Amino acid sequence: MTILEVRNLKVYYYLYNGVVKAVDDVSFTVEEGEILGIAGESGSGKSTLAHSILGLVKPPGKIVGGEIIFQGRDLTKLSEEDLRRLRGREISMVFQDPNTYLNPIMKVGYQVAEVYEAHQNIDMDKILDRVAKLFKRVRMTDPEKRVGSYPHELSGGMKQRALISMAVALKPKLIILDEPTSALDVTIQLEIIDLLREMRDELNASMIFISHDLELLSELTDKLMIMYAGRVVEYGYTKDVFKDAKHPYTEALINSIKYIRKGLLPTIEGEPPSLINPPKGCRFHPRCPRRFELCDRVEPKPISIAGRIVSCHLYGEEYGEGG
Amino acid sequence: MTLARYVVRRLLQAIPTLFILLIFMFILVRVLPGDPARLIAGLEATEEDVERIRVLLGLDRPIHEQFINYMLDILRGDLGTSIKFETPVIQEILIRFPRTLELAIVAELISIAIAIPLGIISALRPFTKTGALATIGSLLGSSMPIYWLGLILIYVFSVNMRLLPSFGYGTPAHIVLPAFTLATLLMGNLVRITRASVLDALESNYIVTAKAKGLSERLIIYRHALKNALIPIITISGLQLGALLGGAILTESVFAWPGIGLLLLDSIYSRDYPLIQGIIIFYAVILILINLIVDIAYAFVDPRVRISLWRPE
Amino acid sequence: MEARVRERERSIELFGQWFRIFRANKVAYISLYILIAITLASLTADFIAPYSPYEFNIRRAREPPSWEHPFGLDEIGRDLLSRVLHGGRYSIGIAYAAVFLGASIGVFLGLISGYYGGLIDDIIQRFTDAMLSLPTILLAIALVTVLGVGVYSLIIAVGLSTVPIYIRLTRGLALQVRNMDYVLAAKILGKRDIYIIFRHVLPNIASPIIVQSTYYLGLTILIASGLGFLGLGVPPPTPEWGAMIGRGREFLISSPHIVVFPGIFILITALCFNLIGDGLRDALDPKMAKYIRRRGI
Repeated sequence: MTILEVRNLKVYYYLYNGVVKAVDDVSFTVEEGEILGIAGESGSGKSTLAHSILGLVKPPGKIVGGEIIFQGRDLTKLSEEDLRRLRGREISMVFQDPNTYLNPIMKVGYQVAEVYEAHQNIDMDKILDRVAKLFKRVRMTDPEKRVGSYPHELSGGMKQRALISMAVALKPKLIILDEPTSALDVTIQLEIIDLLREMRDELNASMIFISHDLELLSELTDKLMIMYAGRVVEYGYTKDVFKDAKHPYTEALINSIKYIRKGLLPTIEGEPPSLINPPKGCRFHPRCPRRFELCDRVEPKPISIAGRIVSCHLYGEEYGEGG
Repeated sequence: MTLARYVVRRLLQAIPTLFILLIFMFILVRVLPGDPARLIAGLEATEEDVERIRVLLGLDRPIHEQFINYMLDILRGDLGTSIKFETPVIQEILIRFPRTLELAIVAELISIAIAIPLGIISALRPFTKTGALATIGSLLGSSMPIYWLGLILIYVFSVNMRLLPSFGYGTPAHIVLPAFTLATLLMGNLVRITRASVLDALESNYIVTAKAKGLSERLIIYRHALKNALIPIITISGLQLGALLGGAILTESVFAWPGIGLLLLDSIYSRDYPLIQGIIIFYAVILILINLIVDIAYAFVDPRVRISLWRPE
Repeated sequence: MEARVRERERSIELFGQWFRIFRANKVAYISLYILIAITLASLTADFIAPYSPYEFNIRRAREPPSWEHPFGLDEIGRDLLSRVLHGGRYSIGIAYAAVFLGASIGVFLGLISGYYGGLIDDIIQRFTDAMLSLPTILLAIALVTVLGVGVYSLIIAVGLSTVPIYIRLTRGLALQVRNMDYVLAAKILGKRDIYIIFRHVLPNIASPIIVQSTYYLGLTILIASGLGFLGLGVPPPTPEWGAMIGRGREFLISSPHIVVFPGIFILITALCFNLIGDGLRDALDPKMAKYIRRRGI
């Protein structure tokens, strides 16, 4: 069953020196119990995409087109109050940096308790017990005591567990994770990933997992979507993508993992494109090792090939001008 | 570190500050051009008069002896004797200061009561008329010559409408105009600081978390944004009490409010030099104390500071 | 050589950009014009003022505004409009001179304090702490009491009273750039400290200092005219705005116009400085450029 369907989503930022098309015509679906990975360099629009699902894009950013269909309802058309009722209860989110995403002057337990408060009528005394149980479930050390701690008294990993407990408290259908481990130490990263997997199995929730760590995504996700400069370049089953990457950018990303394994700094030649004036034609063409005559003129359309979607001229039929 | 140790450390830090101020006052009066004895004696005084005053003030002694006596006297709480009133300076000050403090505190409360809500509103509704009005109002406040505003208020409310007394001290009605005038001094700044602080808090990542939880707009603003925003506001409005005591000099002059500011002006007009020096030293001590209290209060309000202080290292 | 040219072009381009942002702030732009108008009017007061600021006619003292005397006559029958126009020279001129004095000393000490750190920093900071514990106006009153009345002592008193504010501001900024690559690079190249301070540190912290100075000009006008009001500023019959209010206050009940007009000019001038300060701050703040929506500017 499809939990979430995003169709032709466009999210633009209106800045002083131009319009940034952070998410430009992106479509995908998330099935029940599935983990979708979204990968790309920083600035590829993956984080904006995640925020836009919950209506959390800050001005001057704006959803300018497309649909986000969650259980039959288009979230882009919901009122603020309807969206609020959805947030935290049916769709929840875990953010990148646990240090800044927790309120520094409020006890962690109360911050988690607010999720219950926002959606349920319940006694405040009972809530804290529930929070302690929740803390135990996300394997925080000393959960009863942690309820009364302030964020700066907790380690980064503990803070992220608190944020995760917030996200799973009401057993949502969909959990969006925006680089939840990139601010943490490697050992803690692994613990958090294990915890997330466990939570998925226990709640049978779907997840959208955003990361620039392809290796991590290859282990965790069912499907994978690669973004470049606001566009989807490749989207399919993780196993397939890793076995046989179609898009040259995906290929480059996967190759870069091998460099990391050898202890080298992974790089793709060239610089990420300007999002205000993206390159004409295929946005990747200035950095693409396999570009040809068509690439700098015509923007490739997404096509279905080998059980996945790829936007690359290498796999297209003949395209005419303006195709 | 315990809070007690923190307080002691801050007290110790205040000592060099005070010491420098005392040296500054000493130098100001003695080294800069102008003979204080002649200044006090006035233009018409004879040489004998000047000499008499010089001996009276101990200005005929060697400079290091003067300095030691000056410091010892101050340490004993002896700020000298007023030439005009012929009473101990500290006694005059202690009679006048509570009235100034009363004025300053009422003014502080008025400005907080008006400025903080205005600042919050202008932060929450940046592109509305209310927001624009708050911004313009705050700028008018910071550009206002308060002594002039005081005179205008007297003209409108005392002379024309006959609602409030124009000068003096005593009944609650007497404090309305001066306190409001003095409050204007703070209001502009406070509106801007509140606005910036609230905007800053609203931009924070924990607000995104609160939103993602499905918390209502109202709770997000009150429980998360405003609470965080209030910490710097409290600190700053506390520190502004110093500016209020400064502004009180002008306000007291306009409304003939018999506080320490008016006493300072009287002492300047009558060249009562021990009184001038005593009042400024007293101001310095009070203001250093206020800074100290604000710092400690800050440690109480912000758990980050509080816990870093209280937790054994 | 080429790098120099490019640097020049870049700074011209940057100047163009911030001027466009500044101009987009209509209020700040209009304030700039009003301020220029007031300044010009006071500078040319000898020619444009309808009467002499000093000539009095005691029989017509405190006459209210009329066509003949748009602002009325003051407490001894001098034309108030002419006095207000001439007064701008003192009130605005004193503010400029005082801020220039305060900035020169304060920025220099702040740079030294922030750049060197260590003992020099400690000494300057203790001094600054002490001075900042007194409200600016009290500091100015203390200084003017010693220096006596007069235009120059007013400038010195008000100017010196802004020194600690400038030290604190400049020191904080200097600390931020002290460890920047270009400063470290210059140190490695063996450049003299004084060269690094003025060639590398100061230019990089100049814009916030300029913005703050604009605000301080507004503040200084208020303080200097406040001293004038208290009778501690320039001696009579000098037409300084604050002093005019101070001498007119006795006649508030019968002739409020003597108090009203100079006050309005103080208020407008200080307001203009504050609004221009806001405009400059927004234009020079790199963060702002991002947030301003494209409106064809």
